[in-house]
Amino acid sequence: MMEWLSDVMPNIMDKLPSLQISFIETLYMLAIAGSLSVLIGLIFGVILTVTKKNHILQNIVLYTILDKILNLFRSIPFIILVSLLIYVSQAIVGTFIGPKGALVPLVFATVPFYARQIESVLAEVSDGLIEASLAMGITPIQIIIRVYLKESIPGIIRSTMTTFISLIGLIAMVGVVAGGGLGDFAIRYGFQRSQVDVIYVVVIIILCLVTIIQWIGNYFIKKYTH
Amino acid sequence: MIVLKEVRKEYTSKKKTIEALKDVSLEIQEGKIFGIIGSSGAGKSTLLRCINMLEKPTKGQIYIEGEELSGLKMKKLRLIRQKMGMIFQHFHLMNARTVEQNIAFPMKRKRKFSLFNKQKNQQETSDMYIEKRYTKKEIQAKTDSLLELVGLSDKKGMYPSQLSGGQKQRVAIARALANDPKVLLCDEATSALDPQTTISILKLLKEVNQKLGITIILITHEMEVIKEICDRVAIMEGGEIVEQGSVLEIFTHPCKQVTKDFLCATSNISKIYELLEQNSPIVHLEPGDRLVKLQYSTMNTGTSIISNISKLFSLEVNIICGTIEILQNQPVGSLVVIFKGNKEKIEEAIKALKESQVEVEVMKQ
Repeated sequence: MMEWLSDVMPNIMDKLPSLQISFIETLYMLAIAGSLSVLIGLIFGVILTVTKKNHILQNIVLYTILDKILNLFRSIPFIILVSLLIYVSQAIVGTFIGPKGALVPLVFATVPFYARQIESVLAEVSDGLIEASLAMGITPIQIIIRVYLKESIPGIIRSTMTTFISLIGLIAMVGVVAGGGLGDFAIRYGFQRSQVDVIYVVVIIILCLVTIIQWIGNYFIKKYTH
Repeated sequence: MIVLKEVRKEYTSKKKTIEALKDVSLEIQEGKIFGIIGSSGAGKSTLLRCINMLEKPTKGQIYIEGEELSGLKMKKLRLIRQKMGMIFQHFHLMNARTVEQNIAFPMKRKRKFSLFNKQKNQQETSDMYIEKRYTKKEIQAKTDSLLELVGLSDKKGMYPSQLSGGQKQRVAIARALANDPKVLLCDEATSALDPQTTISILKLLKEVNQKLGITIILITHEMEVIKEICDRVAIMEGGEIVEQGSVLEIFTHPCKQVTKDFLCATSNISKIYELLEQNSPIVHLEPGDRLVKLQYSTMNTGTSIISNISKLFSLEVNIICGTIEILQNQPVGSLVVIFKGNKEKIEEAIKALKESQVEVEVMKQ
């Protein structure tokens, strides 16, 4: 078996330990940057929704500022954002290379993307439902948690899924600027040394990762849709 | 009692100001069912929303049990709102919650450490400002009793998407009653329902009113709804209340044209005008005959007028069309009839009818 594998893809077999490290680096970035982005993006998405004109905590100034900032970061191409944020990374996590250094640009790029998706998901909660809640004398915080978020669980899961999948793409890209991970691995060996089998293996691993995320997401969407 | 004093609501856009309510004053007695009818754009929905301050009036005062609402801080306003249930045309249930969870939604759980709050509440002068809190068991018991009241005990684990329109409205009513409100506001609550379901929902509302003594304020564009359950009615047009009174008064003696139009929509009497215009053979008269509209109400109709007239004055009475409603246990009727017979006898008959307080209008002779 091992012999056959070494025959078919000779380049990958002598790099297994290094592939394993790359895989773990990708998972590390996915987990940390993903959960941070979801947390911050969810908060921003909620703020965008409730501070909009004629919404429960209308605050035009806050809305406009947040709106503009998110647009700004969303319009910067990721690879440029990475170079733009090197000093910020240095200040926050102490380095701008390696998986740790990559976290900052990943979060900066993912938060606006996720916050916008949350904003559009929450916009689907009908105004009538919010009006009914107000008529019951429910506090704004309770409306956010018990109505906006609770009613949107399937939509929130769907956008979280999409965000994680697009995050995998960003993580591969950040590899180019010494971020580590599977992308870095594929470029270094597959591209620069023309070891095509390395690319195939990386593609298969990433495909599996995406599929697993989709399975988990769809399972929960089905569970929470009534 | 609910009192509105010169409530005015204006919407200002860049170009112009729209007056949705023009100094509306209203008094609604406790324990009554008060109907507000008007066509769309008449301001009835705005008026209803002013009562629980979902719309802040531009001017004027609103008193609920003597408490003035317009100056209240949000915190106190929320407490007042908990004492006012509201139901909507499109139900507005939460799809992610079961029937049971929807009903339990407005009830607040008891705080574990409530010492501070208790003291605060005791200082309040009016019981409108005391927030009710429940233990888990109390919420369960309350939900069960509400489910029974609206007749949905067997549906408690279902989601709103599995229910029919009428059932959804029942859930909404139960939810609105969860905090033992003193007032129930109904915003076109039956407009999205078919006629039979409408009747059953109205019956439920009446039951709620009688069993729990809750004041109900409902807005609608259907006279049927008013006729079915209301004690009093106000007619709105162009942001003003043009006429109000007991349902019986309004049905028997409407003054304004809008009111008459709304009444016409519920009876088939209006058809006679079309027939007259078309000169239909149904209303063809022999010389000496008279086409007469009779309107009667209350007790004077206890005696059977038509057969009496026919016998006393030996007239042939031919009924063309008519409606008879039972309003607050009293028959109210309009009939269009043709009197055939001796000319003088007909005159005498009309006189006799007028004397027994039947309104007579000769439409064609």
